[in-house]
Amino acid sequence: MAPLPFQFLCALGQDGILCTSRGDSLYTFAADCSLVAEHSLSSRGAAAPDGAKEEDEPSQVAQNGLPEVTPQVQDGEPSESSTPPPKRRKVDSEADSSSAQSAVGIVQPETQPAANGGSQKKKKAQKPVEATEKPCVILLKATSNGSHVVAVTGGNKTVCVLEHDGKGHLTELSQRQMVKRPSDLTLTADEKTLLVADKFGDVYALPLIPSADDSLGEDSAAALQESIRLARKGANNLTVHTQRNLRSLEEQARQRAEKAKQQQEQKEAGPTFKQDLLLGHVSMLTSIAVASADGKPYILTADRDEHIRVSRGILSMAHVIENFCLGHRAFVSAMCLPEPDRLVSGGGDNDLYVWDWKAGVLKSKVPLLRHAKEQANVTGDKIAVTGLYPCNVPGGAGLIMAICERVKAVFVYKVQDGDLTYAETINLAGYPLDIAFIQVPGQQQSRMVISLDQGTETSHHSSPPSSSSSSSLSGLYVHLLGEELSAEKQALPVYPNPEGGRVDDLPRAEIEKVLYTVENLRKTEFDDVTAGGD
Amino acid sequence: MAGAANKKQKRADYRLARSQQDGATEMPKKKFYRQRAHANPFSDHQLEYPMSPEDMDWTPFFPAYKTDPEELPEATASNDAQIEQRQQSSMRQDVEILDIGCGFGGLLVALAPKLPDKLVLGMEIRTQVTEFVQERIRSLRAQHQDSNEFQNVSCIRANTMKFLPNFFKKGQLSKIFICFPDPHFKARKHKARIVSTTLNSEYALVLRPGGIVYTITDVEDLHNWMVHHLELHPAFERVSEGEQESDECVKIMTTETEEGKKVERNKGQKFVALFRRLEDPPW
Repeated sequence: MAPLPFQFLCALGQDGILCTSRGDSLYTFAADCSLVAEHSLSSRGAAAPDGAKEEDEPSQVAQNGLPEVTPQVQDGEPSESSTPPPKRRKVDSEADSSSAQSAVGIVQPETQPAANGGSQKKKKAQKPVEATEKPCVILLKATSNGSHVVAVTGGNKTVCVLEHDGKGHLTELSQRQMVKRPSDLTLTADEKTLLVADKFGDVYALPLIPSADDSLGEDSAAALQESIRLARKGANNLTVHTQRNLRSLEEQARQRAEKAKQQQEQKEAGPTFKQDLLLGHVSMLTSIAVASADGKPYILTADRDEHIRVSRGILSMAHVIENFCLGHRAFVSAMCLPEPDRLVSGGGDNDLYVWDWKAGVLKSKVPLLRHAKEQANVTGDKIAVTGLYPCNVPGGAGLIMAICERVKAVFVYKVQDGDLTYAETINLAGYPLDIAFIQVPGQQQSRMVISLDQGTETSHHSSPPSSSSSSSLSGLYVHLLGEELSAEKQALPVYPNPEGGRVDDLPRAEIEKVLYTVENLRKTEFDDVTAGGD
Repeated sequence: MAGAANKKQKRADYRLARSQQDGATEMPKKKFYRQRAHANPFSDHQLEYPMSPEDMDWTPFFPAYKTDPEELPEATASNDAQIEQRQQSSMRQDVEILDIGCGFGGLLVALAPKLPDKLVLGMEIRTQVTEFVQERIRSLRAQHQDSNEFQNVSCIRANTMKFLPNFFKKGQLSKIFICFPDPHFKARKHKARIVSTTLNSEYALVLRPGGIVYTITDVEDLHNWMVHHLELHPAFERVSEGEQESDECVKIMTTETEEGKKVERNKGQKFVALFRRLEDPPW
C-alpha cells in the first residue's frame, strides 16, 4: 500500500510556480519550492479542515519557507450552484472504462487495460467497482500566461477550469462533464477555446470560460438531433420480413414512445453547456495539438490506429481534412511541435517520427528503443512513448525530452533546422510520469521538473508525513537545464511532500492502473477464429 | 453449436477444391461464404491495410492494369528499395470508384462493364464475403477472357471507417457507393453508422470536388439520417431529383445490388439520395 505519487505537472506563468496533481487534488508550489496550496477537485466541503486559511496567509507561509496546506475549498463553492456535481464518482479508472463500455454497448478493446487481448469478453463482465468519491486527475494543462488551469478528472469525465491568481492560489470556475472520457486536450492559439479529444475519437471545442448564455444550454445542434431522434421511425413493417422481427418492431415502437417522454424530461433536467463537435476519428484519440502555417491555424489529432490527421483549425472549417501523416506502425501516443513546421510524434514504434506535417511527409525516423536499450537497461523489444516535451535551453539549441512508460530515464534530443538528433539520456531513480519546465525569476537555468513513480523501489513507503516536512520529499525531481546540455546529471528531489495526508493509500496494482495506460493501446495478436466472427 | 465443425469442414473442402482448379469459370456458391450480417467496426479485427496510399500494392487486385516493365522509367541511380518496390507495383491508373460495404458484389459486377475505363473497387469488412466476391470476380474474368471484361473490378477486405485514408489519396475517387448499410437502430450505436458528421469529412477527403456519394437504403429512418448528415456537412450538397433520375448508376444501384433485389422480392421501399462533393472553401 502506498499513496499515489504526484503525476501531472504544468508551469503556471513565468514566476516559477508549479502546479501538480496527485489523485484528485492539485498542488501548487512557489518558485522556492514551498507548497502554496492544495485544491481538491472532488468532495468539496468535506475536505476543509478547521484551520482553513485566509487568502493572504499563504504568502506569509511561503516567505518563512514553511509549506503548509491551504485548501482553497471555499473558493470553489460558488460554482457548484451553476453546475451540479456529477452523480457518480469512481476512483478506479478501469472500473470507469468498463462501465462506460457497458453503458455504450460497444466493445472497445483499446480501453481494456489488459495486455492480452484474447480475454476481452471475460474482462467486460467485470463489475465496476463503485468506490470512494475520488476521481483521479487524468489531464492537466495551463494557459501560457498561467492565468487558468484545466484539469480533467477521470471517472466522472469532468473538465474543470480553475483560475490562478499568479501566486499559486486556484479558484474553481467551472466543471463540465463530458459524454466520453477525454484522452487529451489543448488550447487554441488565442487560448480562449479548449479542444478536448476523447476516447470515442471525437474532438469537441469548449469555450475556456463558459459565458452565461452558453451554459444555459439548448445547443442548437443538440436540439436538432433531439428533434430528429423523436421524429424518426426506425424500421417499418416493409423493412422486416420475419414474424419475430415484426414483433420486436412493435415492441420498439412502444419503447420509443416511452423514451420520447423520458427524453422530454431529461431535456428539462440536464443542464448542457456549449460544446461543438469539430471532427472525429473512428478510433480512440490519443493526442491533440494545434499548429499554424502561413498564419493559418491547424488541428493535429493522433489516434490509436496509427493515424495523424491534419485538419483546418478554424472552428467553422475543422471538417476540412488537409492531409494525413501516415507511417506509424503502432499507435501514436504523443506529439509535439519543436518548430512551427515540424511535428515529432511517438508511440508504440521503436523510433520517433519527424514530419513535415503541412505536406504530410515523413522527414526522418530517429531511434528511441535503441537508446533505451543501451542507456536505460530496457530489455524488452517494445517501448511506449508517454510524453514528448519541447523546450528551449537559454542560449542553446531546442530540445525535446522524451519519456516512455516504465523506463527510468529521460531521452534528450536536439532539434536543429528541422532535424532531430539524439543527444543523451538522463537516468532517473524512478519511472517518469510527466515533465514541466519552470522558469525561475532571476535564475539563468530553467528547471526541468519530473514527477517520478518510485513505488517499485521503496516498498517501505514512509508512514503518513510527520510535521517536519523536510524528512519526506515528494517524487518531484528537478534537473537544471543550463547553457550546456545538462551540466548536472543528477536530478534532485527538492520539492517537499505536502503534509496533511489526505491521500489514500492504494495497493500497488491500483496505482499502476492509474499511472500506466499507454502500453495498453497496443494492438494484440488475435486468433483468426475470434476475429472472423464480429 | 451443432454442425459447426461439419460446416467448417465443408467450407474448407469447397475452397480447396476451387483453389485447385485454375481459371475456374464456375461461379462460387454463396452458401459456402455466408457470414453474419454485422461486424463491429470499432474492433481491431485482424486487418491488413497499407501504411499509406503510396504503400498500397494494387497490382494483385488489378493485374491487367499493372504498368509494363518497359514503360517504367529506367531504374535511376537511387538504390532505394522502397522506390523500386513502388515502381514494381505501379499501376497505369488508380481506383476511382468505391463501393463501401460491397457485400456479395452485385453492384460491382453490374458497374464494371458499364464503366470499362474506370477501376471499380469493393470494400467489405467480412472475410468470408470478401472471399466470395474475389472468387466471383475470378470466375467472371475467366469466363470473359476474350473480351477482357471484369479486369477493372476487384474487392478487398477493409474497415473503411478506420482505414479509408490508408488506401486512397486526397481526391482520388470520383464515386462512392454506400448501399444498404447496416442501420444500427439503437441510438448508442449511431457512431457505428457508415454516415456520420465526422466520417463524412473523410469521404470528402478521398472524393474529388464534383464527385458523388450514392446512398440507398430500405430503412426510411436511416435514409433520413444519411440525408441529414450529408446535407448538413459543408463539403456536400444534395443532387437534385432530376439529375438523380438520369444517373445511370442509380438504376444499377437500385436493381443490381443483392439487397436491392431482396427488397424487391419483399416489395419493400428503397430510398435513394445522391450528394455532390463541393470545393473546399478558400481560407
